[in-house]
Amino acid sequence: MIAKTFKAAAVATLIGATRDTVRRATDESNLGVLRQDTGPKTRIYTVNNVYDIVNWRMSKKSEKKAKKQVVMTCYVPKGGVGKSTISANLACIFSLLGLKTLVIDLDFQSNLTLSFGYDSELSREEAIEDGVSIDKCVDYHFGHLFDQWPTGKMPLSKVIKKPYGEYGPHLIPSDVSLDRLDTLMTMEALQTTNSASMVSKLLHAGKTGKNPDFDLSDYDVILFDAAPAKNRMTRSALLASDFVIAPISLEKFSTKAVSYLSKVLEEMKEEDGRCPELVIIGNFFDLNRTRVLNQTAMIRKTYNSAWLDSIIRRSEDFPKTLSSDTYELPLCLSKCNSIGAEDLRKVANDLLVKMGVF
Amino acid sequence: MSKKISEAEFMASVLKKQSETRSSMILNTPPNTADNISVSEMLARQEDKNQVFTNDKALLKINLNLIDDSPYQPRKLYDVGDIDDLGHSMVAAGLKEAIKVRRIGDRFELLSGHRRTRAARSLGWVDIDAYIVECSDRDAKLVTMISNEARVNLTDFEKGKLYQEAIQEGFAKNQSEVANLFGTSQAQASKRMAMLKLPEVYVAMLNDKPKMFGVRLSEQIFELIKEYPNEEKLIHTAVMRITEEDADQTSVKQWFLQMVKQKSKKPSQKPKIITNRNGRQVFTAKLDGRVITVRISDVHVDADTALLKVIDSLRSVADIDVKDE
Repeated sequence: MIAKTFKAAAVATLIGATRDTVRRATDESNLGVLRQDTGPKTRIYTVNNVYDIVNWRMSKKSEKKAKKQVVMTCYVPKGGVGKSTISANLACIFSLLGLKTLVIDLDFQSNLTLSFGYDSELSREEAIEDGVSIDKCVDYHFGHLFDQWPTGKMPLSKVIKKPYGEYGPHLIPSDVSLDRLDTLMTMEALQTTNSASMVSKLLHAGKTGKNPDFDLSDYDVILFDAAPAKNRMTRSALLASDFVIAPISLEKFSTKAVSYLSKVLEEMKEEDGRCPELVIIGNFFDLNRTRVLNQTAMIRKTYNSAWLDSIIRRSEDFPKTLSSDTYELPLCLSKCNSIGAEDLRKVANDLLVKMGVF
Repeated sequence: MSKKISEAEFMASVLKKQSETRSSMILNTPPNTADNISVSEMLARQEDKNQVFTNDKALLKINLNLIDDSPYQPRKLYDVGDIDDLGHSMVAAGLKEAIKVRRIGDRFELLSGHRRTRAARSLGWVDIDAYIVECSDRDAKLVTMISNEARVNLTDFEKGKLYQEAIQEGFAKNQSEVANLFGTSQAQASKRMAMLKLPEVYVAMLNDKPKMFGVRLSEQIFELIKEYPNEEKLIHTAVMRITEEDADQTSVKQWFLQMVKQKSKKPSQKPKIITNRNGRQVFTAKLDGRVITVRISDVHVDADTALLKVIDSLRSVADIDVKDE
């Protein structure tokens, strides 16, 4: 696997600066960016280099800083609408904007984990045999952070993955055994009344920064990528969230799913006194299909205040399937000049403004 | 005979029908999140619940005849209007939150829901949704105390008594623990508890009518007693005006100070005699407290003219006051 590299122009697009700024930052930061062996010896940046530069700029200048920490969940009870794709890309873009981002895979199918290049099916033995870094294996997941986890609690540092280095997005991966967390929550529900607040409790403890084994106080954005299932894990993550991001796909019509989600939020509000604010993102929109667009007019009317003005247009840029054989960076990094990447950047920015982070 | 319709008419009817079915689809909308409680508050509330209700709760319908008031209920007054309002909302929306009771022999004792139970009775309901919670006397007392405090319309004095009781019962050691327990500030807790230390007449009055006044007036009374230790009677009269003359609570101090000022002046002076050039008595003028009486002694004087003159000169005095302000 050859790691993707960027030239200065691409880096400039990614971090929203001019090429000269990138060059100057590279020289001044002394990050040791390599040059091509042959030809004109242009600089070639790895993904890690890109995020290092972002971090260097953040520490240097009065770049936009986060006004508050937000917890968000990407969820709609419908599969294939682009939840994991959007989560992965948002996490990458948030980090490019200098926000410390933690993204948590809550789906045991591990699509998000895969989109950051970790193979939850890969055992340590196989990794050694294939000459793949052991870091690519998934040993622990979100469930391992709970006191109640039967085989013992793990410190965050053992669970967390840093696919693009310290200053890129951080990931809590998942594997097929994550659904045991749901079982655990059901068991809790039988014993106490508040199993739904397990995630809230965990995050709350982490935000205070008092526990060195589980410190979340540094993160600006905590993003859950929830499974389409309507399970306890999802509910618990929603209860802990300030916002729920619901992608609506025009290819797979998901009006009913949003209506159902609204009902869930309503019940949550009644029961616990709080629920996340709904934000709907139009995904895979084809501006040529006027008839379908007309149909969405009604949804936009009903969910007017929840609708995010920027949408993600349908494009061939998005990979059709996620598979470990042909690992590609999330679209916003792999094809930073594509329409899809441009839309994602706009969505990310609008989202941050709506959530009051910027 | 079937009537033929044009293509355009047909399309129009199809569209109309379509738009009707479309608008009849009901979409749930998300709730308002502006008034969300914070995660930490949610967790704190759950913590409270867990502490008190350690045992399982069971939701049942209980006959209203079997429900007794809690002996620990500090509320003495139930506003008929309030209970009516609550009753209306219960008719409209049903009982939103079940009451909580505990079992005492064959009957049930209220832990929370004294107002709801009264409203239900006034509506002629037979039974009411209730959680049966198993708890000790001590827990029952704490639950009643806290749930009452948190809910509406306990007066400052009633709260003060509640806090005092919580300390006596050992639920809290001091004012700061009271403040924590009832979710108020220490300053408020201290002011409310101070009301119990008012002179006996006031405490007796408040026991009778807890709504009479709150911490603000209570503080004023303390201040006045300290400043004018010899005027207890007048202070009492000032306070009594609230109930007897329906005076405004905020006017008590003002009224008192005014009375004190008056008293300090010489009591009713002798009438002043106003004579004409011949030395004959024409008017007498007398000051009594804040009342000036002018008597016309001479039958030849035109009373109307005299009054106009008096008013004239009063006006100039009034203007002097304006300048001073």
